[in-house]
Amino acid sequence: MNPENPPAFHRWRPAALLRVSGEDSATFLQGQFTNDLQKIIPGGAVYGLWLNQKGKTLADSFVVRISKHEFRVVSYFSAAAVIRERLEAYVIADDVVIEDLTAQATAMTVFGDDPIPSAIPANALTFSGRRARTPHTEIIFPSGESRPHGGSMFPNAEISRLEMERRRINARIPAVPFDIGPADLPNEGGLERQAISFTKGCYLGQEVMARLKSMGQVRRTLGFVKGSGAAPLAPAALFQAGRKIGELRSAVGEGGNWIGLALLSRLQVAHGKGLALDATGPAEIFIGADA
Amino acid sequence: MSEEEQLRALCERLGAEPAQAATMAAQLLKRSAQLAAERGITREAALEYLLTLVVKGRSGEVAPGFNPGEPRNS
Repeated sequence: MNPENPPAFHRWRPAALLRVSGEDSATFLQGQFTNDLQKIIPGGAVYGLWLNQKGKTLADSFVVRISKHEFRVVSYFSAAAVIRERLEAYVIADDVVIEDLTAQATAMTVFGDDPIPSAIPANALTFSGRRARTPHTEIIFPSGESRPHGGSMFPNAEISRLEMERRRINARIPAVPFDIGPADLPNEGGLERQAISFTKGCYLGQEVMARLKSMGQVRRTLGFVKGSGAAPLAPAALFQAGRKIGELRSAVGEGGNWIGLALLSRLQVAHGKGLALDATGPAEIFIGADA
Repeated sequence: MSEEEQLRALCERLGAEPAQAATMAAQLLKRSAQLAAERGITREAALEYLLTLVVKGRSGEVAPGFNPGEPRNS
């Protein structure tokens, strides 16, 4: 057993599970999604974003290819209604059908050296997750099985939602739309590194992404912060020397203290100085090394 | 001339190849029926909306009322 990644699992419900099918589904999705779908084979998955025409981040998801003309769209936190509305607005003369399967779906994140048990149902989707530093696999059960037959093949240690949140925040992975959302650019959360293809061609928001890559720099950046005591409620404004310089987007308790992700003004923030939750409050929040 | 034939002719006038125009016409009819059911509007109103998007889009314009995904809190 790898001590860095002991076997464990976490049960969760996807915020979105959509079925996208039809003759034009592949070309349609390729023109909407930030990552390249042409390279994925049936059974494969890729993570990416759904932007608006201004390049702002409406939602994120994995897109899983089922067959030539059928896909699943799965998201941890982005609502099915938001993704569906965003997609349907652009279905005009395309043979594309979008169905919402979210209500029935359950899911499991599995950590460990051998994270894909053999006893999962045939209709389950599996792909590598992105919610912790250590490798893990997501298993999506479209019809609601939370723990399939052959349960002994699954690890016994169950991870809580708060522990998953700690792992995500420690790995500096933004939750869309909470950490990076409809008012934010993907680059402000470092999402361009994994979620955007700069070679795939046109998609909605592509001009803004190309411009940012070639000549731009974002004004804000999502950084790791930590404080003592109970975790504050997020979102919350953050101040430095009495001036608002950002917003705490996520926070979770860790060992009597708390950790979080905050969107901070690159121009205004002074590293090495503390942040406060109000203009005159004590500066007891500290910025991590990568903020 | 049937509705589908009229749509096909329109798509050809907008620059589509005949085969593509036929596909677009069929899909416009199918999508208008979907939209009518989803939005509780008549199929004619749905088709008018879609045709406005197609015609405006062809000339590089944004149809009135088409602003999907606008940031809601910025």
